[in-house]
Amino acid sequence: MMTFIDSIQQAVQYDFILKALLVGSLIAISASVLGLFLVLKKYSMIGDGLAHVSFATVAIALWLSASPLVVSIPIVILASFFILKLSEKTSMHGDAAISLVSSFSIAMAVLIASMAKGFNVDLMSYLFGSILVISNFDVAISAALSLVVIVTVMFFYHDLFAVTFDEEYTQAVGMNTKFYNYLLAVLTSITIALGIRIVGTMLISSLIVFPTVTALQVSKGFRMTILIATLISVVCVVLGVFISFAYNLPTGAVIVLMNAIAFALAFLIKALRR
Amino acid sequence: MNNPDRVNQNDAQLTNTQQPPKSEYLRSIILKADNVTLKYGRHEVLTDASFTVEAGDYIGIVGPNGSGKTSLMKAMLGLITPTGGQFSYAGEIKDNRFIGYLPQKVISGDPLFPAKVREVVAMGLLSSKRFPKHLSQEDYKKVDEILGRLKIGNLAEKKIGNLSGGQQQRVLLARALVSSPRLLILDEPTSALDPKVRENFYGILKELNEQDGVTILLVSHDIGSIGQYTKKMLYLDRTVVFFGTYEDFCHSQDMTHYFGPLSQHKFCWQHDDLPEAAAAKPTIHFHAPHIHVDHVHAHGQSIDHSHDSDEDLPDGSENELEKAGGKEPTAPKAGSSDKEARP
Repeated sequence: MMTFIDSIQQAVQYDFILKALLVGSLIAISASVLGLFLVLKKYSMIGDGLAHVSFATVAIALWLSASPLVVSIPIVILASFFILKLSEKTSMHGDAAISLVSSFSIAMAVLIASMAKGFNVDLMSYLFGSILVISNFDVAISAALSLVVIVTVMFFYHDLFAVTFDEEYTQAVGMNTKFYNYLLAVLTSITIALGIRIVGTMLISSLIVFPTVTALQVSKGFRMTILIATLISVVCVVLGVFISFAYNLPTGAVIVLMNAIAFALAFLIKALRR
Repeated sequence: MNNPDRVNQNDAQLTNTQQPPKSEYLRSIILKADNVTLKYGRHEVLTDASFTVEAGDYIGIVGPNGSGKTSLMKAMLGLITPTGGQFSYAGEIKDNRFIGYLPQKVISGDPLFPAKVREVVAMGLLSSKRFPKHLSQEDYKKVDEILGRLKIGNLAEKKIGNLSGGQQQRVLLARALVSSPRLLILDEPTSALDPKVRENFYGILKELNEQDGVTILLVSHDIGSIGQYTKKMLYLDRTVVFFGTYEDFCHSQDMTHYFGPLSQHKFCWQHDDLPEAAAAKPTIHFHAPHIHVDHVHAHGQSIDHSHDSDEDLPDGSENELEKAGGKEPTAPKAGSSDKEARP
């Protein structure tokens, strides 16, 4: 245990660890703030789908030698609109629409990577996440956009709650449900595009789903669920970064492992309460 | 779908339009439907529906399955756009702010949904707010008031998924009422409730209608019992078959032809002697399930119950009870004012 505390003390000396903690926590907050709406609307898989789209856009960005974030965010937002439209206009279920877009994106990413040889290592770091490659520009843009997501959810909290609880009722009393659905899609897209840097394409959806489902085990009210989810998520990210540093493990995977442990604990608490 | 004979639809509408306003004072019109036609894809579910809702009305919208009741209601709420005709609303309820809506399904399917009763009811206040929406102490006071009025104040901090069907229904009624709407639209509100809770629910609606002057539109397939609660009937079967008071319904030859005398008599609840009969035996409370009379609509006059005439009603009221599956004709509370319920 002593060595773990030592290595924490050692870790905070490093710039990249501090950056990872800052960006990771902000993304954890935005992801878990959005998570409850997405999980309850049965859109849990949209995180996964959009992460695959982000992966393809990173491939494009690396190919063009552009900043991945700048290329990713607009394309991922468009992809999320496309998913909503697909399930709105055609008689396609949401999960089918997500799965189409998601596999198409991965195929594109692989094609681009094989055509433009030479950046496979970089691309791999986006597959499973890496905290070593965060630039100052990334930190600034991640912090700014996470704050935008968090503040927007706070401003539209009541509307998003109503749309999530009962879309038909919300529409019937004259609120613009379509707007709120698209707003949710935009915010999710931004969060995913930012998040794959830290936890990676394969694992980002865990930041959306895990803390929320964990909080759902123990909470009663809506606001309380979001608060608990956020708290759990931030603790898991911070612990994950330190443990991965101390024992030289992949950060994203450790964060997901922490979340899994948190879920198991919450589940136990719920079972014991009965 | 076999359409019942449509011969007398025009006549029915004629009778309807010829009705002079019955009230002594001129009541304001809050919703007017002009030849509204609704389609799902190419399938026409409602054709040329015209009717007028006045302030203070309590209208039962009835008809067999697939007759267009729910579609009409959705169109009134702006969830479907009519392909023909139009609705005109009184100015103040145009933007839906003053419409309360109680949907049919009790809860959005997810018993895990983490929402407290108070949070759900407060949702009813959102449509009248502007960005950024904020619920103040005063708003929550309103929420607590309406919960108290519906006698569910003790549920305020409970999770909605843990409540019974009747409790959830009342929570959603509280949500519909918390913004003090002028017009309340309910879709099959009692289909999930047991008879005792149902009586109670109708009691609340009656109070709202008579004391607070809330206009109520109630969609129901239970035409056999809705007549004892509502003041007017809008009978749909792909178009407006009948619209008017129960008194008119009872005396309409067209309706006798359409439903047959027995069904017409059952639906119109004009058992003038019944209140006395009920008052004479106040201890009898039947709480048996309601009969559903869907077969009546399908076959028009094909009912072969023997029910000779209306003359033997006071005597036959008990008889009637048995035939109707032990249905309680009037709630003890509502019984005394059964006559007032119809203008």
